[in-house]
Amino acid sequence: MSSSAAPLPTSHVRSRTIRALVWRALMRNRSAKVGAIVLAIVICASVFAPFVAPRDPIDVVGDRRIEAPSLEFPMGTDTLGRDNLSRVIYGGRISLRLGLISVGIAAVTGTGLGLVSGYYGGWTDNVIMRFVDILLAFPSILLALMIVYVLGPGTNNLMIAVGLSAMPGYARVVRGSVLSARELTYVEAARALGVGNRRIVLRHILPNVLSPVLVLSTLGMASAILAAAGLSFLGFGATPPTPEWGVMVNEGRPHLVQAWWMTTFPGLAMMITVLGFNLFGDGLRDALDPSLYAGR
Amino acid sequence: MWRYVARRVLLAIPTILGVVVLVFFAMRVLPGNIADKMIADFGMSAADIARLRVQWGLDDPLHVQFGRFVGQMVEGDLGRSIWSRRLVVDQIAEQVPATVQLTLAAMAIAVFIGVPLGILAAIRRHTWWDFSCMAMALGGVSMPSFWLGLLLILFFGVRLGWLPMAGTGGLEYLILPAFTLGFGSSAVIARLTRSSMLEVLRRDFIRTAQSKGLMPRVVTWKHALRNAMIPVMTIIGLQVANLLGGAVLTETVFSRQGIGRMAAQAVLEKDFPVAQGIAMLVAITYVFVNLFVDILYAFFDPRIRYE
Repeated sequence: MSSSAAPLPTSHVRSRTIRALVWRALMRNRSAKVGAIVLAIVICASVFAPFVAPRDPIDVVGDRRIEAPSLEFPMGTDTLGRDNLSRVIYGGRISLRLGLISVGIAAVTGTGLGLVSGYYGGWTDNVIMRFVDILLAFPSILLALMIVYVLGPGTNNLMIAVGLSAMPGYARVVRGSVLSARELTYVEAARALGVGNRRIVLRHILPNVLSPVLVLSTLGMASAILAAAGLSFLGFGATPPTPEWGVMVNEGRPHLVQAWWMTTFPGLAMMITVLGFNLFGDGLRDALDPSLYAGR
Repeated sequence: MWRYVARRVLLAIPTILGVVVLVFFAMRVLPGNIADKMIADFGMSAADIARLRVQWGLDDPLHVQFGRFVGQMVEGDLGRSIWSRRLVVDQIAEQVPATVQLTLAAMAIAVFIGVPLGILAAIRRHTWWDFSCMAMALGGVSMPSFWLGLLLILFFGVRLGWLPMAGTGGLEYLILPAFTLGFGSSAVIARLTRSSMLEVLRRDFIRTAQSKGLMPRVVTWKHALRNAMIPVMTIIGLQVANLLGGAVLTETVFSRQGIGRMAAQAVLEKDFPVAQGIAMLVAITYVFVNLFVDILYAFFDPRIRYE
C-alpha cells in the first residue's frame, strides 16, 4: 500500500464503462443495426451523389420524356425527360440537410429553454412552460405553416418553421431531465462550493440531459424529413427544379396515371430514409435507457 | 373529482388566451407586414394599399387593433376574407363538417387497426405475429401520408376503379382519405398499446389472477386490457392534433373540402383573416380535446385526481 498511489479516477472509469455498455447494447440491438445500415447507405448515396448518380439531376436527357423504368433509366424519366434515379439520389442530399438543420434548430432552442426553465424554476419556468404549452396547442404542421406564412416560403424559412414547430417537445423533455438532475448531490456540492449558475448548468446538468436529446433528435430527423417534404409538397418549401422528394411527388401527381414512377420512387426513398432514422432511434433509446444499467 | 375538473378548466384558459395573442401578433408584428407583401406579390398600387390599410384598421396602434380583434372575436366575428370578401366564420363553418367527418373516420380507423394489432403483438410477444405487427407499425409511422394517399388513389382509384379518386361526397369518397390519414396514427397507437400491455402483464395482480386459475382470456381482456388502455387513451387524444394537422395534406391530395386545405390555400394566397381564423379554431379545439382527455383520464384512474 503506497500512499503515493493516486486515487482511481472513479467517475472517469464509470463513464467509460457506461459508454461501452451503451455501445454493446446498441450493437446487440437488431433494430439499431438495421437502422444504421439503412442510414449508412442513404447517407453515402447522398454524400457521393455526383459519383453514384448516373446523370445530372436537372439536365434534360434528349427527348426522353415520361419513359417507364428500363435498364437505361432504372426509375424512368419525368415529364421533362430528366433521369428519375439521379433526381431521387440527389434528393437525399436536400432532405437530409433539411432534416439535420431543422433538428439542430429544434434541439438547440428547445434544450436551451428546457435548461433555463428547469434549472431556475419559479416564474421563469412558469413563463417558458406556458409559452411551450401555447405552441403545443398547434398541430405541428399547422404551426410550421403559420411560421412559413409569416416568414415567406423557401428552403431556409422551411427549416426554421419545421425546427421551431418541433422545439416544444425538446423543451418539455429537457426540463423534466433537468428537474431530476438538479437534485443530484454533485450539483448540490458544486453549488455549495460557490460555482456559478452558468457553469453548473453547462458542466454538470447539460451532460445529464444529452442522452434524451440524442434520442429525440434521431427520431426527430424522421419527423422533420416528413414535415419538410409535406410542406414542399404543398408548395411552401423547395421549388422546382430542385430535386427535393416532396417536390418530386408533387410534380408527379398530375401524371399519376401515365407515370406512376414519378411519385412512387421519391416517396419510397423518403420512406426508407425515415424508416432508417426510426429504427436507429428506437434502438438508441433502448440502449440508452438508464434502467438497463442501474445497479451494474 | 370536481375540484380536479375545475382546476384543469382554469388552466386551459391562459393557454387559449395565449393562442389568441400569439396568432394575432404573429400575423401583424413579425417581419414584412401584410400590406407590403401585397404590393410585392399582387402589384397593387400604393393608393389601393393605403385604402386597404385604413379599411382594415392596420394603421391604428397595435393595442387598439388587439382590443378590437378580441371584441369582435367574442362576438363570433373573425373578419372577412381578403379575396372573397366573405365572412371568415361562414367560410370556416362551411368547411368544418367535411374535416370533422374525415378526422372522426380516420380516428376510428386508427383505433380499430392500432389497438388490436398492439394487443396481438403483446400477447404473442417475440413471435412472428409480434414481429409482423410491429414491422407494419414502423412502416406506418415512416410513410409520408401524402405519398400513401397517392398510392391508394393509383391502386384503388385508377387500377381497380373501386373508389373515387378525389372529391367530397358520400361514404365512398371518405374511405381512401380516412385510411390515408388514420394509418400513421394507427401505427403510433399500436406501438403504445403493445408497450402498455406488456407493462401491465408484468404486474403482480396479473400473476395473482393467473395463479387463481382464471382463464387466460379473462386475464388478458378483463384484467390486463382495462389497465393498459389508460395511457392509450391519452395518446388517442394527442393524435387528434396529428389528424387535424394531417388533414392539411390529406385534403389537398384528395382535393377534398375541409379546413386543412382551406388553411394551405389561405397561406398560399396570403389571406390572413382566414389563416388566423383557422389557426385559432384548430388550436382552441385541440386545447379542449386535451382537456377532455385529461378529465377522462382522471375518471378512469382515480390516482390522478389526488396529485
